[in-house]
Parts: sequence; C-alpha cells; structure tokens
Amino acid sequence: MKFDGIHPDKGDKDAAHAAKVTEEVLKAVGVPLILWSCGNDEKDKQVMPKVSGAAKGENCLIGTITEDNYKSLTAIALADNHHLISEAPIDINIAKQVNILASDMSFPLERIVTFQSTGALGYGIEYAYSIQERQRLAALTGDKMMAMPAICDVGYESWRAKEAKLTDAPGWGDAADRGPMWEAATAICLLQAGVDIIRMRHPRAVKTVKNFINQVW
Amino acid sequence: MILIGERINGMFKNVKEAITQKDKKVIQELAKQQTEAGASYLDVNVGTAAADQEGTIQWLVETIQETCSTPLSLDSQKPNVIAAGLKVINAENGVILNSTPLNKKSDEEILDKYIEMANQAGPKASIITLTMDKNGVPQDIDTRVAIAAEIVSKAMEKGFATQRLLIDPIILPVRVPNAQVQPGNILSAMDQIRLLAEPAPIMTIGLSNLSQGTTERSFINRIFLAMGISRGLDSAIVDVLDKDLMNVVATAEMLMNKQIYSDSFLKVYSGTN
Repeated sequence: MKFDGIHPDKGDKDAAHAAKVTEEVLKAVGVPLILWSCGNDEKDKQVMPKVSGAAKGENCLIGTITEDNYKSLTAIALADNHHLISEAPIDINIAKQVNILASDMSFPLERIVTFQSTGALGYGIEYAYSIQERQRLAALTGDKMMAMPAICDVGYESWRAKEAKLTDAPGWGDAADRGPMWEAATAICLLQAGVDIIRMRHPRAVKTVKNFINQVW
Repeated sequence: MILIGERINGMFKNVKEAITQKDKKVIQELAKQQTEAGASYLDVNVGTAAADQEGTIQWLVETIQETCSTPLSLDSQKPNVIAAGLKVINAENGVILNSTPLNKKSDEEILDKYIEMANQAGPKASIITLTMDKNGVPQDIDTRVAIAAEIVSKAMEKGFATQRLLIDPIILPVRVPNAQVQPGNILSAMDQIRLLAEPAPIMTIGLSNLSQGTTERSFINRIFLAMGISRGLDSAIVDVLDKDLMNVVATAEMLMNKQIYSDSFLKVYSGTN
C-alpha cells in the first residue's frame, strides 16, 4: 500500500483516513502489508505513526526511512513490531549509512529491507542493477550492514516509461503487450542482480516473472 | 580481513599471573574485549607462563569457551600442545592451528601432523604455516616463495584446501641490524606466494614482531599493516584493542574497495572469518 493520497499535492488525506484504510485492508486480506510513505517528510511524520499503530503486531514492512528522516519511523516500527524499509537514492554508501543509523537505534538488522529508488528498463536500470549487485557481493563477503533483502518498485517505475504506456506508436508493437513486457523485463533484470522483493503492477507481467522464477530457482 | 587477537598470551604479565593463579576472570574479560573490538579469532598462547603447556592450553580454551564463542587460534609450535587444545575445543565456528614451519631438523613431518590435526578438527579448521624450514628463517624473497611452494604442494597432495591454508612469510624486527630490507621483501614475497594456487592461500602476518624493541611500536605496526593491506594481505595477528590500529584496517580496506564506504565506516568495522 502506497500512501500517495496523503501527499499535499495528491489529495492531502489525513492520518485518520490513512489509518482507517489500513485497518480495512488488513481485515480484507490474510497477508502482511507493505506500508509506503508518500515521500513528503512533513506529512509522513504526521501520518505514518498512525498507520503503523493501526497495523500494530501485524508484522508489516513499513517505510521508508532515509538518511535525513529515520528517527521517528524507526522508533515506531520498533515499538509496533514491524519490519523497516531503508531508502537510498541509488547510492550504496548512503544505503549502508541508513542501515547503520537504524541499527544504532537498536533496530535489528534482520528486520531491515533496503530500497534503492528503482530505475526501469531504458531509464537507468543499469545503475540499479550494478548497485544491487554490489550490495549482494558485499553481503556475501561478510558486510553485515549490507546483508539484508532488497526491494524494488518495479511496477511504478516501469509504467512511468512512455515505452510501456504509449498507445499511439504503431512502430512499437501492440501497447497491450508492450507494457507488461516492459515491466517483466525490468523485474527479471533486477531479480538477476540479487533483488529479493519486487513490487509489481500488471497481472500478465506478474505471471511472466513467476514463470521465470520457477524455471530459474 | 581476518583479525586474530593476540592478547591472550602468557608473555603478557596479566595473562601470566592469571594462568598462575587460575584466575578465569582476566582471561574471559580479554576474550570479551577482543571480541567486541572486532577480532575474528582469539589467539591462545601459553607462552612461558607454565611448565605444563598441555594442561594450561586446555584450561585457557575451556575458560574462554565458558563465556565466549569467538573461534580460537591455538598458538604453539608443538604438535602435542595443539593436540591437547583440540581435545577440549569446540571448533564448530572454526579454529586455526598456529603455526608450523615446512619442516624442522627435529621433526621432518611436522606440517603433515598439523594438516592431519586440522582435518580431524573439522571442515572449518585452518593452519598457519610459516615460510621457514629446517635451515631456519629465510632472509630473501626467493627462498620464502620456494618454501611456500613446497607448503602449498604438500597441502594439495594431502587434499587440504588452499583456502584453509594461511601462509605467514615471517616478519622480522625492523630494528635488527640489516633487517630494514625485510618489510619490503615480505610484500614482494606475498605477491608471488598468492600466485601459487587457485584459489590463493591466505596471506597472514604476525604484525607486532615487526616493531619489537623500537620506540614507535604502534606507529610502525599501523603503517606496515596499511601497506600490507594495499598488497592484498588477508589476515594478521594484531592487538585488536588498539583502536587506532583497527581504524587503520577499516580505512585501508575501504580504500582498497573491500568495504563499502559509509559515513560511519569506522564504527561498524569488524574482522571477518
């Protein structure tokens, strides 16, 4: 669940609304949720503690914490027994630092998932790939501060690409196929770099990626 | 980097007293401090503290393992002392048998014995071998490399994986007359020894020996350690309680791209095994 609607420019919904939606979704599904803040620090500080509280004890993955904004959400996630997403802007050094900062607040490393803002196919995926690969190699050589699972926001990033969504482009093939293929290609590429969790959008892309996973792993 | 903490050694006065008085607390405290400082292994050396070397190394191993699970490096040139330590050790997380030369006048088969003991101690047991033979410690690069080649081929012949083989090219005190060429020789020897096997044997040094008798001991140790890391040194027996030395290791490893930089990189550094 991405709380885009709480962003001041995208609806400016309040904390009570966000908490209520969280409760309703929790009632409706049998799996833990991933709860993403909107990226506006001020608004996230108001809303995310309420969202966390609404899902207390539900073993959710909540985020994101950044180098400049980690204290309150880390403390809340610790208190409400959630896992945490630490975010860095395609920057391995900052990623490590955010993990250290959370760890300094006694947040267990095994409950952190890292997130490098994801690049889609054609839009910087090579940077995302090499950084995920480097993180994994560091983990394999014993760097405890880099040894956590990584999440990527593949659905959101892929569908921002005009190649995925432009319908009026006859030379590019059928848009109905092109979009899911764009998303699946992005996901599969990042999986091969060592990413563990992918947030996806289109059911056909999901099917293709699942099929790939079943064949390879 | 594999960092072997050197402080549990009967040559140190407080350890010697603890051994004499069977004072477990001193030993356990040193184990804890060194572990917290980032030691990958704790060296255990009876030194001259007791006549009964076998009984004493067993007491040290048992005392440490009562409160600490950091793997140990059993430090003796005598196979019977190592064997005694191995009898009581929990080697689940690894153990280093430290150390043996290629051969000795009094014992041509000493390396075989260490390999045999390491194999019996389990898959995580490794050995430190010295580039030294019955003729003593070589002074030049070529003899060091030649001895290392014999060590590597012996290990291969016995099916002992080279990743479990630590080779120490033996560092000599720099203040000894005419020994100033030795630190450079060590670095050059390491470059060649690494090429002897694939995967390469692990290069290690007993760092503190370098500065024996000098006036700037820790400074000499720190600088040479950084120089060694820049030439691919994988392991060292050091005083992990020397915070500045540990910061040198963290910084040198970061500069060699072995550790990912972060603003708090000094704080989170610890050895690996």
